[in-house]
Amino acid sequence: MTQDALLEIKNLKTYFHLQEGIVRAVDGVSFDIQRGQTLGIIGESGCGKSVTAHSILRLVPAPPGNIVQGEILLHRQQVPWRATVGRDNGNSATVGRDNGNSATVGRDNGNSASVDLAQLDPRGAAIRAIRGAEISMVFQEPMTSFGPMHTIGNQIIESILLHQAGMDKTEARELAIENLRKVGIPRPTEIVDAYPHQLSGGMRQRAMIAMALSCSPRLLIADEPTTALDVTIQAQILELLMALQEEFGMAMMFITHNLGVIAEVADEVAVMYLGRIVEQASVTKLFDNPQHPYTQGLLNSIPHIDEEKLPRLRAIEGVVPDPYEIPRGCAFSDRCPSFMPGRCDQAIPDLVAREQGHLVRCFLYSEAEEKLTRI
Amino acid sequence: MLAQYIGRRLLLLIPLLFIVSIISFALIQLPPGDILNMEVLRLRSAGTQISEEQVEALRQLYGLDKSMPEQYWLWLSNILLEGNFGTSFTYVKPVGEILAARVPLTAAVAIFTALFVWITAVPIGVYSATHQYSLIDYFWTFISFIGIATPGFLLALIFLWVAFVLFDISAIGLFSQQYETAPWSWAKFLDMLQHIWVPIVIIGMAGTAGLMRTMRGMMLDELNKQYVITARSKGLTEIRLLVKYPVRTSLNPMISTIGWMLPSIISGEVLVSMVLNIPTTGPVLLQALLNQDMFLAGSIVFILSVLTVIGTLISDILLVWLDPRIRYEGMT
Repeated sequence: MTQDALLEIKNLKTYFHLQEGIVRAVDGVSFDIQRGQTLGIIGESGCGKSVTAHSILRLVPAPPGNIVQGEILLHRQQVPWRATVGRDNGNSATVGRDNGNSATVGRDNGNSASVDLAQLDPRGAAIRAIRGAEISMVFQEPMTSFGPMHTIGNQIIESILLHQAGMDKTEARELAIENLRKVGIPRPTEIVDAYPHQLSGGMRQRAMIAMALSCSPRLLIADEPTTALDVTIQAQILELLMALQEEFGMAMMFITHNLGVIAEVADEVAVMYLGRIVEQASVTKLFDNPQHPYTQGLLNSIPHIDEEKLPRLRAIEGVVPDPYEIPRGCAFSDRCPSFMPGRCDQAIPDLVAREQGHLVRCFLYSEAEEKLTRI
Repeated sequence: MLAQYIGRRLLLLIPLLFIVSIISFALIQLPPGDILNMEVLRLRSAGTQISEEQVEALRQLYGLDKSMPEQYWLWLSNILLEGNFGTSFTYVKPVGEILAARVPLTAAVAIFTALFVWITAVPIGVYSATHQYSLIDYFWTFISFIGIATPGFLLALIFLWVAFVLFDISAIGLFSQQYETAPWSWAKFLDMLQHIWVPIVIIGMAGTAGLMRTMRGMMLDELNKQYVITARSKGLTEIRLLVKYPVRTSLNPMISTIGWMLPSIISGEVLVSMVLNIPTTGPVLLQALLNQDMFLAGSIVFILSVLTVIGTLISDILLVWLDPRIRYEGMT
């Protein structure tokens, strides 16, 4: 695995300040997305995976949402010395992430090739130049992702003209048709003039992908792109995304709550629970050897086709707690089968390397603990 | 395809207008008695002797002795074939002559009021929605509740009083004195524009207040829709994406209320026009109804209904033209 990060997120905290209290939707998340690789983010509804994605493009509605801390570094060019670090000392990389060592901090000083998205004005020109051009996004709801009043082509061409200077309308239209063809839409010359309501959900999602790819982004954020589709269409869209990723050489951040989907597309997987990453590893390690009780619970809850008779689905006990009443200590402690009284409910465990490239946030494996800041 | 749709809608107008004419005629016949009862009462109280034969002769002269369907047919055929709306008993003038001066003014007031309502309500609604719960949003909410709750004639009275007491201006009428009886000219038109904004603002107040709220609510619904976030994620500027996507979608109910706006403007206009002494159809209609001047009242009701039907047609055509979802599903 090359150590060539395109996007580096360090200790990101996105909070929502609501009347009922503060919702810590993303509470100290750190990860890298490598060039050309796919990072899968998995978790239940409300675990903060979508808010993380929206934070990258600064789409979190403010107010009430707000990035209170952290860095989102977009490295436009390969950082030369970094390639030598390699993954073989994965531990140090992990430590560096949490502590923000001086080398990491020093890198963005005066380096225009890297930009901290968290510092940009969410309405400013800088982030707008990145949206849709360097980082683009595909959303969950294909039925409502396009504006109903304009043709598909109009909306794709709009994006092209916005970011690709020197292109005129006819060229942009050609490119839009070309992209529609690439995503497997039949009769693209006709569909380009179709209105969103004239297309099926699967077709709309393809068109959405065509729009997201229209400016050849470095990173595609796919926020549950297949959740609203039926299973056969789901498989087609996944294959399409993977094929296009190879063709365009882009990185992908793939958000889903579907373990089967993540196993298929991701290189690296991060499991999120209530705003924090609880486990992160390569896809094979995570599925073969899950460490965190939450990940184990998730994997156990999948019915296996080869099991002879499955009386009941093994679900994780309890429900995701109310965002205003997150348990003291480890957020998963009230549902955890390995709960250790006096330990798990006293402090939040640190995310530490269990083995090379396999990070877990659990007291079963670590003595390290974060200071308990919450009451 | 659009031409075909408009053609079909125009054909449908014929039976619709026919029904409208029947209802207009029936409505003015509903109150007991007729114009002659009023006239005879007036003459007798004035001391004039009038015999039953004379009354009967008058009755025949005006065709009041005929059956209802016959009277209706006479009325309608005169309008359609000769453009003759009959004679007003109270004004002793052809109805057409009375209305020729007033209907265009009513239409002008209505159209200008509609424009005023739109031009003010849409931007305010958009601003209120994008700045929800801000001080300015609360300010407009407050204004709109007052606007909805205050009757137009009261607003007109207050306005007249304020203009007179504070600025010593008489805001009555639509023209300055020297133009009141003058024939139409460019100068008279300009003079009218100087005066017409008073009734427009007063009549439009309630409409603006209501539409502002509608626009705000529609925008709040649309602003959270996925396609707005999609547009934002493409890198569009906030203004551009607002205008192109949610505002455009939110305009639908605005457009479809054009048709209903006309009758509400016209009925709201009656009292305001009385107070401000504006020569529109409103005051005449009220007088005609009180006097049972049936040809005059019937013609006004009929003409205003026709205008409303046409307004609805225009709003439907606009909707089809603006909204592809309606264009493709409603027309096939």
